[in-house]
Amino acid sequence: MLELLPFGPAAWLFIGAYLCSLLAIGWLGYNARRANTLEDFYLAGRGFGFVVLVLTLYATQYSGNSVFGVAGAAYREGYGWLISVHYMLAIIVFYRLFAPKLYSLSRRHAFVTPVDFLRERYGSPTLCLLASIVMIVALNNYLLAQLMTMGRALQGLAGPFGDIAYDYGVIGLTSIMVVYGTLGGIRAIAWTDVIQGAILMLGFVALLCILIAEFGPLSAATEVILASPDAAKVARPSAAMLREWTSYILIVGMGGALYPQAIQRIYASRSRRALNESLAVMAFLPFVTALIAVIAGIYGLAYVDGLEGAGTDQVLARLLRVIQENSLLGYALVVLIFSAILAALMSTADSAMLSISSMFTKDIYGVHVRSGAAESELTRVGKICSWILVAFLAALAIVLKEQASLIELLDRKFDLLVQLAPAFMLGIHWKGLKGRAVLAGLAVGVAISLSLAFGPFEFVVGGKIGGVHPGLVGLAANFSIAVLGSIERHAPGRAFVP
Amino acid sequence: MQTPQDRGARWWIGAIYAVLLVLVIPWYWPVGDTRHVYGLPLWAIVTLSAVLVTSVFTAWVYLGRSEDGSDDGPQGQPRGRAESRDGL
Repeated sequence: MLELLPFGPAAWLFIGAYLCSLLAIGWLGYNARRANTLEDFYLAGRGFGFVVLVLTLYATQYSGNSVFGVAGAAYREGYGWLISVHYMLAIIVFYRLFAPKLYSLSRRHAFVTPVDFLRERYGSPTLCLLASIVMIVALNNYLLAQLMTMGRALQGLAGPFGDIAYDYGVIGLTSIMVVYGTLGGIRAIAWTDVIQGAILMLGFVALLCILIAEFGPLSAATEVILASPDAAKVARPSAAMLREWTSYILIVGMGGALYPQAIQRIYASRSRRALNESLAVMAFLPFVTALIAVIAGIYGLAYVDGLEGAGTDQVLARLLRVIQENSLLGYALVVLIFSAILAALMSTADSAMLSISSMFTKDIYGVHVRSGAAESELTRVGKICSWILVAFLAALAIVLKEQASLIELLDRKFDLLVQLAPAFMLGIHWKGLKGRAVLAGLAVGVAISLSLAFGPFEFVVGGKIGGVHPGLVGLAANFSIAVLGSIERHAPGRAFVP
Repeated sequence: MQTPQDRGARWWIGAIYAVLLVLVIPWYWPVGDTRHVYGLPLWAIVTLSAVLVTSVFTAWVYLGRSEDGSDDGPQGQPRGRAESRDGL
């Protein structure tokens, strides 16, 4: 490995110590468990205070996509990818529609998974099963993107040995992740998130400083781009791109707020005050993460040539390689930033892994396979599920090495997740919303989204229809069916008490 | 219990977000303008300013308003299943 990446022994010692600390925290989380129950393993006894909650939300929300995907997209699109700042904030805005109320309900009804709310609200096994499948498929997509980014993080730094480094990265990092995740459950993952969130925040600030120190001010990078054939990437985005902006704000805002792992962190909050304060702080974090990732992409556009397609996601790694070769301080900061990138990847991937395992275990295995199974059995099945899932996705990530850009993977995930918006965001407020109508809307929305995304339609350009994500087209139909179906079938006598 | 004031507040908060959404998308800025300040294009400074205002407003909404004024803290206990299904 030492010959693959241009890091010396001290750097590997630092990175190794960081990775070992994750395993140690997994062991501490294992020892700190209070009961062998799903609530303890997946929600840590609902005891997250403000500091843990804000850092775990931050580390979970800002992922490999936030670092490599956004920098790569800014390399391709220029300043037009400032939309990433907008859509990361939109997630926090959309939380306001349902998170505070969902938190109260989760306390009353002891929810563990997002589907627990749907079961309580609508009482429809079919709706719950379909919602579970939608969330598990979407999260698998997300987890796959994280694993691929782990590989890309090493690939970009390794230069001519990139392919081998990619494979080592995927296998090694996922192994560590699954060990500490299954040892300590959400408690270990939240504790590691505290470290990872702090390193991530520090790493982003260090990244901005080092880019300016190494390549000069942003104004110089912008002038370089203006003098190149890419000059249009400095100007305001075209009308078509602005339609995509609107689409991204809506689909990522709603879809991101419906991340199952984030919903479970809402459940795990110690109090509503802790939740509200955490989300208030999260409203400012796009400026110290997404914005800096865009600026990194702009520096790459100015000073790194020749990246195309999925390879553009390596732009940040290329920049880091240049920086570390030029000074000792740069070298040290690159090691810190590299650790921050690993933190972003692993904190998001471990949360997705645990969330998938909780939904599979509680909402599918515990309902449709072994109804009435003991909590200890369900917890054991959840851990086994995590190992199998991660092994399968790691193999897939290696097979799909050069296949897709991270942003493409991200788009498909949101196309699916956003179909759950009526069930959660509308259903939590409107007593008259009916389960049958929500189920029909969800089925139609998913069918439309997937057909448009993967079908051979000439009017679908770059995965979008006139700049609009297929998921939003599906959501329009989904929402209409849910509302009209509920109005038509409206009957008195049913009272959901939020 | 939701009061008429709560419902009214929800509407004006929604209206402010709608106005902010219009402002954060720089459709109103001239196409092809590449002027920049410290490297950031002018249109980007304007849209990021609108995003910052949205962040401040969002933080105020979270910190200043509570859905029902309660805080279901550690004392909140599971109450069992609600009688609230539509028979599916």
